[in-house]
Amino acid sequence: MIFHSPQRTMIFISAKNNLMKTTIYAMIALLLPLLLSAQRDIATSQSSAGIKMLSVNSTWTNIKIVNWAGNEVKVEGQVSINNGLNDDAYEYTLEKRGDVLLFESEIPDLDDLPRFVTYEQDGQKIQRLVDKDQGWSSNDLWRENGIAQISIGPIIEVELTFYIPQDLSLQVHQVHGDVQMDNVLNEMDINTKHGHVEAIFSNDIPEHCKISSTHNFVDVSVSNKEKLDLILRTNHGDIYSDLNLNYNRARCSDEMYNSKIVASVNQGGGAELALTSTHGNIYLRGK
Amino acid sequence: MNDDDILIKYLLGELAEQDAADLEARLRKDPVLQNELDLLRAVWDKSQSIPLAQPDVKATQRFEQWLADQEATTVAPATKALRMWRYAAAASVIMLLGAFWILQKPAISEESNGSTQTDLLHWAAEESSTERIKGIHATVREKEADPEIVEALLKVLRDDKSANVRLTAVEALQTMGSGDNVKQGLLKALATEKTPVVQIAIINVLVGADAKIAKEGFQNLINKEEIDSTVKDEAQLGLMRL
Amino acid sequence: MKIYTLILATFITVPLMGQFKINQSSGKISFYEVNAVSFEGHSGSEILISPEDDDFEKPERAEGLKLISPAGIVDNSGIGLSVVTEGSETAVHQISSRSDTRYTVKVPAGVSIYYECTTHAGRTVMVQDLASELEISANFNSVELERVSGPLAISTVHGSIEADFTEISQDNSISLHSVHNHVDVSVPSDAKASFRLNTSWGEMFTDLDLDYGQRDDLRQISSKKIAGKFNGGGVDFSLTSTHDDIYLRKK
Repeated sequence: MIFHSPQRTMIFISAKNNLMKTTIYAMIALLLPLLLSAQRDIATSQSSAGIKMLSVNSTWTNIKIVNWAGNEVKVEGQVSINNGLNDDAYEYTLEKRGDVLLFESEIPDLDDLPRFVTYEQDGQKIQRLVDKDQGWSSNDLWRENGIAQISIGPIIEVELTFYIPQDLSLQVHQVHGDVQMDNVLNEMDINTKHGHVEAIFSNDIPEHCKISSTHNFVDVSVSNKEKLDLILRTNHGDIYSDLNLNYNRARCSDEMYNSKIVASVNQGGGAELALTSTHGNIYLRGK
Repeated sequence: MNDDDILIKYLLGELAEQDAADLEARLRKDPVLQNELDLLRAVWDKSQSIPLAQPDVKATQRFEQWLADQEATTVAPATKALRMWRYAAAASVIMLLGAFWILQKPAISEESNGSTQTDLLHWAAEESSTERIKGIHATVREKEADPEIVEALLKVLRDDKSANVRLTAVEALQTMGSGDNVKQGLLKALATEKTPVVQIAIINVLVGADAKIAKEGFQNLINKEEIDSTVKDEAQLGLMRL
Repeated sequence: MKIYTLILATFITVPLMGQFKINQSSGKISFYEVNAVSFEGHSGSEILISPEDDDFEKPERAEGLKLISPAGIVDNSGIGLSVVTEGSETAVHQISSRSDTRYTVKVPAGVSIYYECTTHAGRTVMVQDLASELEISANFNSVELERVSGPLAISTVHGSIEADFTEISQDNSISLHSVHNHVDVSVPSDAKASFRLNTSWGEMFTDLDLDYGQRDDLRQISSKKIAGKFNGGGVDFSLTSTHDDIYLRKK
């Protein structure tokens, strides 16, 4: 759920001498209680007839992917930006380009959106609207309060679920936002920059599965009966697993900021699984 | 394999289990063969007391005398052919065993005066790295630059598994003058040494000895991709100084 | 008195969270690529290894999983180390090559220590109250030694070596070698030692009254290599810094 209850969210209007700005903010203060309950629902779909690949090129979106038996790709979810104030700023398209279905999303006017400073104080989450011209870091108020966790920017909460047929190959490129997959069996190449990737493969696994995150973790669960050929890579993170690995010592390497494990599970010869996290950890679980 | 080989291998403990069992069965039935084995064993026992440092000539002379003594007392049919055969077999045993010893670390022998390799090597089997370092210091302390010491130090530099012991060997070689044997030996070691601190020490000793022959070796290090960059810097500095 | 000792012993052997015990009081323990270590001698009969804060960090998400490495070694200690003992020799490898968890290792005097660390991740090796033989072969680690009485063979390329000796056993051999950093040693004023100081590009400083020996009637007044006896000479003590300075101080 994206909506924050009034108890958890207190919105302060920063006092400014400028009368004009005060008026605008006062208006926002009046409107916000109405907008607080708003979010934007999204639903779109495209037939997958004649389609070989689904390519998701998005940002600012938490994506969940599931397989279904339908012969179309359906996307549905909710968008909430600045607690409903700027829901329309999120733009997306799902269209056919030759034999590729392309989903793209962006927030083109991101820099023009009102920004909030979000932090925790005494167990409460507080969001304060920040004046565009005011540099928050120079404000004594923040320093005085000794606030630890601060994030600044528009409050963006977008949660989309993709229902996709199994026979497409899947390509995801995400900048901000996490990816979660539940028994998705498409041949896949998933990459996120700032978000993490979680995938569960309970009984079966695609033949070719490439999952990577630049700044966050990659967490994959597989059946421990699965025959796998693995490449696990990280530059700054650690690798954790409980699988019984047979290391290919000649291809494993451990340099200063570059660790690579090449190994097989259950003699290999089955699916090829490549997991990479540049700055985060890799978790590989057998069930 | 002929009987000579089988018997010699048996004495050296190199026969496979089954072959040894077969031979023992034969020996029980064949007194001539048994006698030949006894002869070889006697030769082997006797030659254990012959010091390595003794020149071959003396060893051969002593052996010939001993053989003559043996022939006087032996019971086996002493035909001329058999005598020659025994002589050849025993001589080959001596050579084989001699070669065997050269490859092993000999125990300290009181008769090997001036054989510094033996002195040095007696501590080379020490478990403790610091004991081996002490050994190097003790050996080098008393003697002047001695080619045998240089050889022994180069051997330590080649074979010791501790980088710190090899480092001490390099530092000791630094005090052994700038003879060609030192320079060549160090240069050769530089080509195979893998530990940066030892590589750097070798480079500096060569530079200190003004070893112009090392220039190519240094350049090779600089060109080899896998060489540590600090080592390459030292080699570069060395090239400039030579 | 005895009763008190017993009670104390019980307290000491109660395992702390995250401590790993090895039943070994002789032989050798070797450390490979364990980036941050502090060695301490103790009178116990076991080797004890504890990560700092007694609690080895593991992300919550990794619960139930083992830290693994390209070297194929597995954390079998629960504290990020692979510890394998064969007879009287133990080999310790760090699983995560980038970890900077500092491990405190308490060692009985009869166990000799070998420490090897080749990467940039190597941190200062802290050593105190150690009677064991210690050998270090490092690229980047510095070494700090206090109240060390056993034999030493220490070399580091980029790190410095600083040592404060309260006693020097005459049975020892001590060699401290740094390529690019300084070597700074303090010895008791009554120590009997035969010093060998060696530097190619650095300077040597001492306030010890060393006997450099004489050739004919000449005193050695300058050299990049000095051999000098202190209090008549004794244990072999070699200090080398190829590119940096050597300090030899009297306590």
